[in-house]
Amino acid sequence: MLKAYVPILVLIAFVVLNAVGMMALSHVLSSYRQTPVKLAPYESGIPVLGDARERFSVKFYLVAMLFIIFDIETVFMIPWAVAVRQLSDRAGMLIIEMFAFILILAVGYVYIWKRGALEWD
Amino acid sequence: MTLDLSTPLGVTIALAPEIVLSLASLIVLLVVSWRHRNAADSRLAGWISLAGLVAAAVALLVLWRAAPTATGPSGMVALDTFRFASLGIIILATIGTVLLSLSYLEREGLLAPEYYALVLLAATGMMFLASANDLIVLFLGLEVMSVAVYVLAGFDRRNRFSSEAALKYFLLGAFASAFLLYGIALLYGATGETNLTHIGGAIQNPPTVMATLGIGLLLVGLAFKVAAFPFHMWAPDVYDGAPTPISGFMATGVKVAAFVALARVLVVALPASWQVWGPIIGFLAAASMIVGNLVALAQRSVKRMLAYSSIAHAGYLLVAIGAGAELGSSALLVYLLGYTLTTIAAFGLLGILGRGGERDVTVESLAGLAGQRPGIALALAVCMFSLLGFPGTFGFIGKWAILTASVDVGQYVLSTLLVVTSLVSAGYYLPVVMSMYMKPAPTDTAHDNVWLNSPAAAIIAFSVALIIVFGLWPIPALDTALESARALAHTTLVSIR
Repeated sequence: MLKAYVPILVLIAFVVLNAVGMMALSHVLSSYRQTPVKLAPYESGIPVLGDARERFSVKFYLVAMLFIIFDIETVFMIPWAVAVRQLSDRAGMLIIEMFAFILILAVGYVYIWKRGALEWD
Repeated sequence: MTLDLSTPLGVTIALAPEIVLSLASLIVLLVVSWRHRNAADSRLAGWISLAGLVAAAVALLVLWRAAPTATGPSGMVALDTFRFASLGIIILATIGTVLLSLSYLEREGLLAPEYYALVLLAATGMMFLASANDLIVLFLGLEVMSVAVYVLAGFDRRNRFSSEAALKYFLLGAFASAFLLYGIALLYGATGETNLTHIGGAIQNPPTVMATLGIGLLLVGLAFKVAAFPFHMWAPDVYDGAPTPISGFMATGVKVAAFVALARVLVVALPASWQVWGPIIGFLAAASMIVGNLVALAQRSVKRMLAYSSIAHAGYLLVAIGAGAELGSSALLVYLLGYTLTTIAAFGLLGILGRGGERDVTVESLAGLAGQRPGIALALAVCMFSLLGFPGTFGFIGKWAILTASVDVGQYVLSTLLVVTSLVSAGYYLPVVMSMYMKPAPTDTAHDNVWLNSPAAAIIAFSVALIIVFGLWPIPALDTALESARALAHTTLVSIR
């Protein structure tokens, strides 16, 4: 049974060896001449402005989370829309189920709206 | 009444309690959208959740009385009295949590009424977990429950111990969920089924390497949720940091749901693989009893002591799981009911004994409570005796049922360990009672800020009364549990055939 997975094992070994080999070779073969400018972080060619570790407002995280939640719903809706025609004998139930799903999402939407999660200030 | 679980209508009726409770949580969320400003709004959300829980309990009772039997192909949810009895315990634990939270949240200034929506969602997840007859439903229930409880553990967000609890529980819980999911995947790979009944019919005996690995990983995931020994490391810190009613909720609701799911998986899907999981469960039980009880001896904080004691109780319950389908599952239900009543009352009482998370309530600080607050001291003493398993309390009946079941299948080592570790547990339960009744209070006003308001008093008085009533007259509880366990064992026989 496990024999079928041997090609995958060979592929993984090849990929790892390839990556390590390329990095090792470039490390061995290249020459280094460090200058302060070369060692500075690269910011699209302009002088460095400050530390990269800044505190972000929690609002960004909130928006990102809400985006993911309301984005993922599409992942459920598209397969449903594709399958609903083929399962026409139970289409009524499928439509009710999708409406229940959207209703639950809508309650969440009303909640974040009224609670002010969509207001930036 | 017969229900065909392959039709939409049949599933809807079979899931009535769960559906009612999910609707209630949506209603709470909608109400909270507009009403989230002050203490009155928080109370409103609490009372609506209570109404929702009562509605779910009514739906459960109607369904239970109708005694439905499933026809047609095996469904994704179970339809037997074992499920109904466990749902009853979960609803009871949730009602207790809501009643205890009403005054606790106001006192601690945790005035975000989303709390109640999360409690209801967690309870819905627990009910699905306890109802699951399919590994997919089991996983969904576990996640719905866990995600809500992660948030609840960190609900006191200004308290850094509460935040620590939430982060620890979340990271380790997500890790455990991955184990569980991998176990489900391997079992599916080995049998081609996710339905528990079908797995029971399809699994080879002795199980293949893949199935054995799947069973092992599944046990890891569920043992984490019940805080059994090698997977218990999170429990003391999380129970300690979480708001006290939530600690009680985690120690009761989460444990009940996970134990019922564990029993169902092992009894329905994997009875033939006993030689694989039997020794593992035995080891988990022995280790949890020893470690939980010995480490609890060293605790000074009552909240941490209760956390370690809940690890020890997970060990006792695992002895019941190992004791087989009929007597073992019946002992499991009896013990879960007694443990839920006692633990809800104990954490409720702890919640009024301190302030700001109750981490500083020690055994010594309870000195002289009996003289100044006799009712509260008496209730706490009854809880301690019941947790210890003292004759005359429900805790004794539960331990006796587990011992009977365990000796019946010849688990003599585990039975002996249960008795010995119970005796050891007197070393940390009795000092609480001694401190309250035999030590003088440091000042005449030492316990003046200990008071009990009516919703919390109602659930604590109810629990304490039931602990004593069932302790003296346990026949109804034992009969119901045995009948439920027979229903579960019957499923097994069908699935083996």
